[in-house]
Amino acid sequence: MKKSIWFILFAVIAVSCLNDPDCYQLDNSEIIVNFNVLGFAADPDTLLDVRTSGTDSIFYQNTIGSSFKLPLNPNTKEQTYIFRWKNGSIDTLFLGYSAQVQFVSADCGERYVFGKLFLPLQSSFDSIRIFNQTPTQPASANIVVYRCANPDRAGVKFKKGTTKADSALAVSFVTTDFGTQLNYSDSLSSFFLPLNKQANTTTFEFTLAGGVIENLRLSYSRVKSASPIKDCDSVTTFSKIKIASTSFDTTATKIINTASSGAVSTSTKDPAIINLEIFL
Amino acid sequence: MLVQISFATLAQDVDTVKVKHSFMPTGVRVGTDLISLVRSPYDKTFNGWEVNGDVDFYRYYLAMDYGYWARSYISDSSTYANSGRYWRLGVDVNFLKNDPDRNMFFFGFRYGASTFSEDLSVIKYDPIWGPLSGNYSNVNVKAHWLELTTGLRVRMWKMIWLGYTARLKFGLSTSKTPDMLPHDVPGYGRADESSYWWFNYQIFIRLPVRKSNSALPKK
Repeated sequence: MKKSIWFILFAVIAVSCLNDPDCYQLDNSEIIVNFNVLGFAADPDTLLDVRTSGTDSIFYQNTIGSSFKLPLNPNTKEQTYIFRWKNGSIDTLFLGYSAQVQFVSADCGERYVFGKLFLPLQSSFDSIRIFNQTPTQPASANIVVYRCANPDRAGVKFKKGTTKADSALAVSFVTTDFGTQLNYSDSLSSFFLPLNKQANTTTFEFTLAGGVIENLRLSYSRVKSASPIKDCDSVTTFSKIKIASTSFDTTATKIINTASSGAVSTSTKDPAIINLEIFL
Repeated sequence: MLVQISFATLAQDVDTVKVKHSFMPTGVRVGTDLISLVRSPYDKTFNGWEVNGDVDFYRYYLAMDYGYWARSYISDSSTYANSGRYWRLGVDVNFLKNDPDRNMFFFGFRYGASTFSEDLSVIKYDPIWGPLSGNYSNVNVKAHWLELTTGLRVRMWKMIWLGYTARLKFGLSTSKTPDMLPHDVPGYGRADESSYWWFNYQIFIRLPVRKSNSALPKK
């Protein structure tokens, strides 16, 4: 009898030790794509949106960032992501992967397990690599995108002359004298304007929401040099940026010096920085 | 704890006279897993049986298991079913060397292998991707693993022994299944666990084939 009690006790202990799965965060169905400038740090840029095959869902509308989390489709083993950037450029990422379903438990149902990320086709980025082939839960960096440095944009910020506060302009679009057009949907105080690599001045035409047109002409010096990155073309850096003329009713202009970083922002950088403040 | 209980229940005064031990087998013990037998009629998600056997070579026991199990589950979005057979082969070492009843407190190891099939049907709606429906099958999947074992065998009455075996299973490897990862491997358990505890509560009949040459103390 004493022996039987021991056996029953062990049976109870053993059954109680059989563990049930945790239903929380079963899928590893998201990847993170990080954007960087080659030779520099993260590349925060503004996305108009990200679309992907197999769904009508639109991701990251009007979002500034350098790191984006994107879903994987369990119905397919290849996925195309289309990134539309605020500056008008469009990038396409082709991604392949393995997708396996696995039953977990009666309470949790099934999960989808993704892995073996690869790039089946040439993407439109300057450089892209798989950082981690297996998506994790929670998601971590899987793909790193690099682009060549292209410091061709001058940052202009509009401010109120009286209060020095930011002054948002309702600009519909901006055209340049070398044929570039930038479209805007929101009122902004900061504009990153492309400079002409073939001339020492660029004229911008701001078409405001009410149809009013204002002009801004920037002058600068140009230096063209070989890129330190062998896969990138030559780099043109713009310096000594100043306002040559403008139709804006300005009270003052200011050339920004970012003394704290040791860099003088009359030169263009990539990612772009604010070079001029215009007080209206 | 196992050691304490084993010795508390089974401790004997043993003679320290040195004897020459025979490695010739003296009997075959054949049994079955009572948990599987009791569970099958009552648990709608499980149906299975397992036969266990061992042969003694002095304090070393060649242990064999053969079994079958099938599971079926229904969740909100899917139904799952599997079935398959498995076997294990290994050695147990008895640390109660001179027990007159041939009781055992043992440690051992097993190599386990299984062949099984499984089916999964999924019907669900994903907020991003829409309907995610499909029928998935893995047929004749091969799996193998290793186990560390410990347990007791206690003579209850004449030829009847009761025992339990606690198993730490690990090192599971399955053949490739491109579309569906295995959920449950008969003989092992959940395939997404890198190690797994399991427990058998067993009843045995010992069939003596010859008398032992080893001098066992009288009861």
